[in-house]
Amino acid sequence: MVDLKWSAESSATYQLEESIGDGDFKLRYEGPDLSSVRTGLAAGDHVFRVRAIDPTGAAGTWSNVLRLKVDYMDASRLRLLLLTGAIVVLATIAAIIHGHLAHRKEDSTR
Amino acid sequence: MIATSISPQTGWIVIILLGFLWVGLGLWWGRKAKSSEGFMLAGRNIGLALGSATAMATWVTSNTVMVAPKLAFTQGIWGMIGYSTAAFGLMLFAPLAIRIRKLLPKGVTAGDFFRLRYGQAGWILFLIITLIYSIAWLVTMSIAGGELLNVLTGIPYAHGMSLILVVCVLYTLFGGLYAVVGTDFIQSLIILTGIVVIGALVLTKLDFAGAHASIADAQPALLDAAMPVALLSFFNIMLFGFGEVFHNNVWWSRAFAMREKVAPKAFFLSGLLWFPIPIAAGFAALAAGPLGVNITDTNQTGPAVAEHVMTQAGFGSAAGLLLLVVLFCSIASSIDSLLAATSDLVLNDVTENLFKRKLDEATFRRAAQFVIIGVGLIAWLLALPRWPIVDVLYSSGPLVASLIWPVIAGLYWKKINRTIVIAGIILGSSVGVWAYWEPSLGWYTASLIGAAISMLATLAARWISPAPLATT
Repeated sequence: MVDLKWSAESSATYQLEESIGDGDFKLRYEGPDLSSVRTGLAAGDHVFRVRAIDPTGAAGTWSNVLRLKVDYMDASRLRLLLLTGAIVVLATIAAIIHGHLAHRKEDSTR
Repeated sequence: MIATSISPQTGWIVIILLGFLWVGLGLWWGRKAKSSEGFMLAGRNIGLALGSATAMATWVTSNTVMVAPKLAFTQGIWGMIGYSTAAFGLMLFAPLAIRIRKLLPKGVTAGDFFRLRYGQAGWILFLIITLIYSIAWLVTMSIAGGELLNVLTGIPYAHGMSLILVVCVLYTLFGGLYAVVGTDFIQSLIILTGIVVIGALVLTKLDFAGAHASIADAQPALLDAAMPVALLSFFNIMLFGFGEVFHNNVWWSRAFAMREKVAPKAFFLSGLLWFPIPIAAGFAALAAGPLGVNITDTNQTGPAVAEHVMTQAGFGSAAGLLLLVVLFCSIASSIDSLLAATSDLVLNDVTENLFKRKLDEATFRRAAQFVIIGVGLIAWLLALPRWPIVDVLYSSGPLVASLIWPVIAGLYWKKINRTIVIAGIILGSSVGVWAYWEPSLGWYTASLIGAAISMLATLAARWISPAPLATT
């Protein structure tokens, strides 16, 4: 998740663009807000830039670009944590089912 | 970004009218509470409809309508489904409720169980964990209420937060669990109606093929079934939910308050009813990009999309009004339950067991009202400075997750080594909280780690010098 913010110019709207890797810039937001949260970015390099559009429709110059690299968790650590999660959840459910069946058996033998 | 679509005057009128309604109903239902058992446990006579509704409405917190959309917006499909797995906690509590009623037929709070099965040390550890968690939950709900009123109506934060808290304190004060359960029933109907209306509007406004193409282009990781954070938070949220429901007096008091045969059915049904709510709320958030809604604060993702689609559908200022009523109900239905359950815990466990003071019927009601006002006042004092206490709530995930296995073992097993179980709770909680703040692990592993360590310790406690657990 990236929280992008830029400073204000009077009565302007803004255009925010993103380029992935060395690809073309694509429009991601156009409007009056001074920030935009970008989520779901793929792993790799991302470049963002913003510019103001004045009320007559004239576009300002593009800002300096913001470059960032998106990384996700190391695969081996992820696998270990996922396996732990699956074991704990399944064992918890099994313990409840086992306990419940034992409880019913205990009840029926009384 | 959400624009303030209704005036502060309209906001005040709506909240005051809702406040009068809830307090009036609290007074009406409160007439039934003629004894301490009536006030704390609604006479142990709650039926299926009210029982299911109160469990579902309590589990629909401001987190459900605020955090579920945030998770969908930041973690995609797994984030959306992951939050809904908290419903499994309610479903799995169904068989536990049968055992709870068998083991503690005259039980009043979850503390009774911990004291019986784990002795004074286990009970004190439980009290510390549950009070940290419950107060943090209560304060975050109060803060969320104040912030929502501010965003939707422009009412100053402190005024809105105080108003919501005062309304909930008043009707809980007058009606006890009768009032909480009754208002929860009406609030659950309002919440469900609101979510169905908003979900239907999103469906009608969305071009699915276009939406998929838009997300695949701008937010591809949201469609990635192997997104690491989302996959891990799936287990983490589920275990956080298990821990919360299995240990907290909010749910134990309902297990004691429902008719014996009703409790398991009500918990299972409430889980089923609750399951689609985060998916509906999350789906709306996934549509934010394709619908052209610019999100500037992820905490406001749900309301921002809801207001956008309702405005597009021609609801005008009624959009803000509907949102206000639905969100107010979801927050109030959790605050009232927490006030009642936490006050019961303080009254029953702290007063009667820690200070060894048995309250007679004549002084009980006055003491209960004093404690409810006291808990409300503490929540108000902590919510007033608007501290980022949400971190306290989320970082308490491993604390409550560390109680999952001790609860299961205490309910079903006959022998255990209590010292090892207690050590496991402390170790699981400590390592889990550390993982929460450790950047290389993160919040989405904390409850998972806490639950795993406590599980291993509890299993070891079954085989290493176990001693019989007390039954009376």
